[in-house]
Amino acid sequence: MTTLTKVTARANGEHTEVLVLVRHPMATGHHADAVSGNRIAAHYIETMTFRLNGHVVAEAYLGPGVASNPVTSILIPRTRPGDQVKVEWTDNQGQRGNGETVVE
Amino acid sequence: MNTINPERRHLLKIVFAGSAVTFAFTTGLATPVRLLADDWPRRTFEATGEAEILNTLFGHTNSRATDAVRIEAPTQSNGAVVSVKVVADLIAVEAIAVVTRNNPQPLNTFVSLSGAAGFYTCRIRVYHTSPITAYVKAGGKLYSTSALIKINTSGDGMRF
Repeated sequence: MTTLTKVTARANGEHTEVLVLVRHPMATGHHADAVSGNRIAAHYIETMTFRLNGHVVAEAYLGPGVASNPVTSILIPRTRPGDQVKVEWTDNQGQRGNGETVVE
Repeated sequence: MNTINPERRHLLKIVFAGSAVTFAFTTGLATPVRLLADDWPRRTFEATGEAEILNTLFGHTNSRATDAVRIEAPTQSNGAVVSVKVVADLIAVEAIAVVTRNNPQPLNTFVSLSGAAGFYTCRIRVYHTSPITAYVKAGGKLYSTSALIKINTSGDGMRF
């Protein structure tokens, strides 16, 4: 399965909302496949680290209580055009993903 | 302390924020040291009650309801995807947790802030009609606000 991590920076005056969309099943492990009847293994994002110019500004912790294809956002104050935003995530199966953008 | 990954230090800040630790020890409240043993706080996410979640995240369960924390969420929704926005009009916001009381595992998500503002949005799962509570730690104190979200399903509620 291809994963997609899309990071968007929405500047609003001096503040920037950083929006992250990840294509991810966020499987709880309590659900059976409708066709085979086999249990679908738990598969969910655990951590999501937000960096501004290399410094961690937020760390989100997710789990089975977050919807599939999660969308999360944070707000970074006092940003400037050209600031670099990077988001990295890890899941419970050891997969990783990241995305980045620049504040306009 | 030198062995601790510097990228995790902002998490330590929640747990060991100076005055909070003093307060916790002098009042006999446990500090949530076990959170440090694991990058992802499994015990907190697997907890079935709100008190255990608050104890493991913040070291106590004493939160103060406030209008300074706002939840923006639909009043009715399909439980599979409920967009929740938490806005905390407080200074020195250190962490925000989103908890759905009637979920089998009530903690949906939390965020530790180390430069970002008191703001967090996430799309969560809600199994049954339930209050959603945002717990916000700011300036060493714990605040909360709740909103009721009705889920448009019958019987056992949503299955995930």
